[in-house]
Amino acid sequence: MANFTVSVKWNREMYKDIEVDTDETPEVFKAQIFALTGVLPERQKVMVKGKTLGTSWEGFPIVKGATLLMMGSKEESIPTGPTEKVKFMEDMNEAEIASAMDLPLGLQNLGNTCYMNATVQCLKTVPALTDSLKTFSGHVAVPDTQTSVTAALRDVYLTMDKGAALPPLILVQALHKAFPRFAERDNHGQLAQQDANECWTELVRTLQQKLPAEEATKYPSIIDQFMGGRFSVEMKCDEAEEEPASVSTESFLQLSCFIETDTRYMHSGLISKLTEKITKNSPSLSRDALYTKSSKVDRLPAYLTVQMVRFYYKEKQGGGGVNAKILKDVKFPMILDVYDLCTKRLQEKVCLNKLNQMCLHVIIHPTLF
Amino acid sequence: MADVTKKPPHEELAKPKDDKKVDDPKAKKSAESEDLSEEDKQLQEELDMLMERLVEPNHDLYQQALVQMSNLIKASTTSMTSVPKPLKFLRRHFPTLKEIYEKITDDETKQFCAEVVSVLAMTISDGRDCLNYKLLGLERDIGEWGHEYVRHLAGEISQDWWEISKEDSERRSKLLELATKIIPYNLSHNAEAEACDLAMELEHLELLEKYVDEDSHQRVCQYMTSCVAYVPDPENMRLLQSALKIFLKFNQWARALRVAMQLNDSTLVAEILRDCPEEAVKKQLAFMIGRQQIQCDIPNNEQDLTDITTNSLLNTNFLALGRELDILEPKTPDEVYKSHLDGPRQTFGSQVDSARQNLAASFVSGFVNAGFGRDKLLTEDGNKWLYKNKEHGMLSATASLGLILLWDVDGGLGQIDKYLYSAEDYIKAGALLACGIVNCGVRNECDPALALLSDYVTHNSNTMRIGSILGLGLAYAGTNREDIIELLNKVILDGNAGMEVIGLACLACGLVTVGTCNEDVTTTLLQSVLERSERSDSDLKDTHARFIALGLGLCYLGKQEKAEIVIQTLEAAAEPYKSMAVTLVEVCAYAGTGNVLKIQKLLHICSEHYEAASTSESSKKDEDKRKRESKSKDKKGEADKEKAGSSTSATKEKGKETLDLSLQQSVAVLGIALIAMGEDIGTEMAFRTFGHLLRYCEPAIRRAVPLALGLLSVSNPRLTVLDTLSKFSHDVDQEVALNSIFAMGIVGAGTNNARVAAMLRQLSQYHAKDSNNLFMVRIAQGLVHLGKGTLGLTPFHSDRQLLCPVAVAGLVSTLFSFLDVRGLILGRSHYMLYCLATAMNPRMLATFDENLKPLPVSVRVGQALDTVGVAGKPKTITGFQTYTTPVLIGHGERAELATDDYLSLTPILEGFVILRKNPDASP
Repeated sequence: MANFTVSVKWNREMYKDIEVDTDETPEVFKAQIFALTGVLPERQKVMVKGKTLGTSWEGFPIVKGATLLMMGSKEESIPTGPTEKVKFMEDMNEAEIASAMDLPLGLQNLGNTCYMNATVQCLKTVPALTDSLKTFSGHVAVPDTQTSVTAALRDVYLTMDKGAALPPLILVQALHKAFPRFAERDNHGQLAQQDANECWTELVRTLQQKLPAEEATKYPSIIDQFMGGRFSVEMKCDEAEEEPASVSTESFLQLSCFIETDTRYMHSGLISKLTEKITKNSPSLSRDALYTKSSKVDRLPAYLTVQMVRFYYKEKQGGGGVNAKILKDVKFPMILDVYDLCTKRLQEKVCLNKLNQMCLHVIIHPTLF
Repeated sequence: MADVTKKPPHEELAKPKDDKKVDDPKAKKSAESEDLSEEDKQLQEELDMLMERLVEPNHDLYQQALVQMSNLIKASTTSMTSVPKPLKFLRRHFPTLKEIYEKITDDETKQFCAEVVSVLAMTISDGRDCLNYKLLGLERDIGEWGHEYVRHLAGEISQDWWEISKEDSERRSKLLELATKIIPYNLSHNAEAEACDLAMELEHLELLEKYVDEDSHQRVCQYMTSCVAYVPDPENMRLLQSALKIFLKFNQWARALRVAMQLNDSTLVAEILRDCPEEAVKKQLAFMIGRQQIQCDIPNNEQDLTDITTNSLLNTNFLALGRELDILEPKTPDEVYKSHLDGPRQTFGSQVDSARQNLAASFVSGFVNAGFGRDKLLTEDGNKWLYKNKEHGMLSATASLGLILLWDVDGGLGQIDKYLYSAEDYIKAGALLACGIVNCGVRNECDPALALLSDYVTHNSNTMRIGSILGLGLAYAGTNREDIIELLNKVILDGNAGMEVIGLACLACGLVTVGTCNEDVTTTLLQSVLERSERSDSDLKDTHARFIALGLGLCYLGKQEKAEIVIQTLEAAAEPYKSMAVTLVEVCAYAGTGNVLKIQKLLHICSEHYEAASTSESSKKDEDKRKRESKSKDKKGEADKEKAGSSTSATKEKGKETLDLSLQQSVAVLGIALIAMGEDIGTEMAFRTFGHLLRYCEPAIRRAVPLALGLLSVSNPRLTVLDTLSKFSHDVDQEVALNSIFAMGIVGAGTNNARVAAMLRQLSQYHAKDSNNLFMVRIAQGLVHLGKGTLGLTPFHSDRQLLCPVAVAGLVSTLFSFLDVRGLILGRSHYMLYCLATAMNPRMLATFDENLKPLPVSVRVGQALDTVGVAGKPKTITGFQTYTTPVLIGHGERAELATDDYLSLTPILEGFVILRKNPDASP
């Protein structure tokens, strides 16, 4: 065996004229490489012609002037796995996924009951309402339909919070009992499609009856507290200038966005119906006269409901009519600014609180989109 | 291709007139003479007079009359569509002239008369009069009577050649003699196509080799090489061989090398490299050899040439292109998905890691940053990302590092090294595979891949074996190295290894010996198939068993008849494996040949409807549904068996038949594409056929068709193909949808094609809820942006003339595993996608000076035009734009130098091209 020099290539660098003495153990050679590269000997893989250098030179085809390839990294530490194992979506069951991804639980459609599911899901986003429901002690199986609907809704929310997706059968039953028109069936015996807004109105009204407000002295019910608004309505007679405008208040649970041919944005739909022309008996003229009724929001609820009036009763020529759906695309922003719908008084108040923005919860009735 | 046997157009025109003349010659004559101009009348009278003289018994006047007549004929000018006037007027004298010929006694006059009759016969007879009388005629210059006459004569010769019996050697030699005159005439009169056609018809290509000259040889060879696709098997080799000889005769080294590579003959390649006298040209040849990825002995072991043929400069040059295009910055999967355009979908809370989507991201990151050496997932804090993958996903995620560091043997291995020490077996195995992928297509004298991987091939962990075996297969694809084969053979013969390991080892063997007919490998693989058939255990029913047959097929890739013995031996195997294996080996053997008979055979296989399938369509659907629901990773066969078991015993037989045919049929469908992909017309026809298959055939066939469509237009996003695939990517049969989505990725691979990208983005929303489909969409998106749009997967290069066998092998292996997409790709064997690495190649043009220093020059890049057989000096590209090299070249595009200052050493401006200063350049 002999003493000769070889070249070693490591990453892109070439170390020339490294002495090899094959009488010594390979460790000596590796120590030399360590001095040059800083790669620990045990991490070095020295290769030539498809062979790796082991603990002896035997079987390692090294010759004078050969170029060896060394592979190894300087890093001290060997990569180790993270202490906490990653939990994968594939390994979880549905409930785990829902909790991990913070997904709202879905409700099963029991045959055109999407209107109800949408309403239920939407109402669930009002924490005050769900909290108040939890305290409701009524039972489903009572003759009072309103109590049974409220109780059924409470039970649905409870099961949903547990992460189980049960079909809301009881709620549908209770709803059908309370409001028989939702039980209407088409020619094939299937449940007919319903308007989500009707369901919303009915449910909210029921809850209004059944759930007391947190501040029972100020508000008659929780619905009035969080979802009820108030208009300030001004009636001005167009035909009698001198007649003083009468101001009154009206409470509302939802704003309606009427869709006309030129309504392209929700905002304009809202504004258009706040000023109406109506005919009513004028006390000063003692006859029916034309009035301008302009409403302004005097109280904004914490949760403002906006109804897109997509159903339109179309008169037929031979009498009767048909409910037509307006499929026009009406754009709405994710943040709705209702500042200009408010009364002066409210505007000033809102400005003070710098709270002139409202978040919008929209019921999207799936069949509409 | 011009058809020599077609009759000259005026003959058809003349025919009705002939009939009329027979009916009523006088009326015809008078009618004709009325229309004639003064000049024509005079000509007619003159000819009539000459005829009269010939009819007279005075023999002395014959010679003179005939000379006069021939002068008149020669003097006439003609267009292609009308008969020359003198011939027209003489036509009615044709029978008389024939009689006259018979009665002439003087030899010279008689021969001269024969010439005249021969010329006249061109316009008249259906028979061989023209040829027969020519053979009786004088030994005179063939071109005397004009080009049209030569054409006609050539047509009759080739017709006659096939009609006379082979024994009639006298007639044959006469015809050959005539052809020897015609060919030089054609060659010197810009009728190279006709010359080639005649030589090909007579199967005497040496005539061309003999007479071709400096000016015409390129056009002759171009014509010949483009005919290769249309002639049957032994003939096409002969065409290439004579083209090779001609190129060598005129010292066209680069062109000769192309033909030699087309012949797939490595000794010829070595000879050309050895004989080439110029250093710079040698380097150019070495570049071409490197691109074809064939093993070649370098004369005198010159280091420069070895460096080029082993592609060790590929990485540096590719990065130079990246720098030039300013795309070195790594891309994240999200940038590829363009998820910010998807709208507010993930508005719900926190995201949970999905193993499948993370795996997709690993693949995408690998594909997109392939060759660039940097990415955002693995090269930066890779360890964290790796643990976001699960089990085999870790393997594939680590291996994607190999793609990122592709071709960078020196710099890349160091970055993989640390993962070899990981505590997790999957990561270690992935690192091994990555080492293999880095070495894919490049060779290093130190053989790091072998040194690193060989120890693990017989490791006791199956995972490690998988990584190392596939790594070896990819690193040494196409090398036919004995030490590798020996190593792999050990695994194949190992009785204890699982079917997955054995299948992969067989595939690796196939990759290493692609297109070599290696006997060792053939024997081992056949043995392992036959042994398992005899034992009749369930081994062959395992989904991985299919790779044994694939290994055999790859070994015989493109070898045509040489695969016969293997096919016959396979006949002894057990059904249903037998039919699949036989079909697979056969289609591989004819890959890229466009062999019509084989395609017909495959269509027959596809057209079979087995009763079980047609009568119980509904039960099949049920079964599909059940499969989908159970998400079982079992192979199709087991599901089928299950079904058979649950139904009555009578249908059990049928159930088995269904199982048998389904895999064979899907292989047949892939095979159609594999065979047809060589050639444009075949591709079009196959595309049409696939439409029918999609509509009328069994589910197994429908599932394979999208893959076949992908194979037909790799990295070529044709609208028609995309439309079809897009349609089936929404199919109710989920496997059809999955395969279609992947095929879209293959079709758009490395093109950055906006349309494909938009389609896939739309699909990602459509399939957002189905994680399997979404996974496939992501993979396809990654493929479309392969190498940030600089890499292509197409196995064809050098003007689409050469088929790179290694690339085909990679593509076929991947697509073949998609035939069981559920069991393999969506199961644990997604690493099969890395087989595509062998097909990856930069679709660029980089130019160097003679010392291999980059040399930016301006080039025109435009749509390639087919100039075969076009007269004059046709433009080769259209709609071009001028760029400075290095540039990207898309599918169907061609580049040409836009400057006179340099000459390229290869006629095909593709890949790496060496330029030389033009000595004649105008200053």
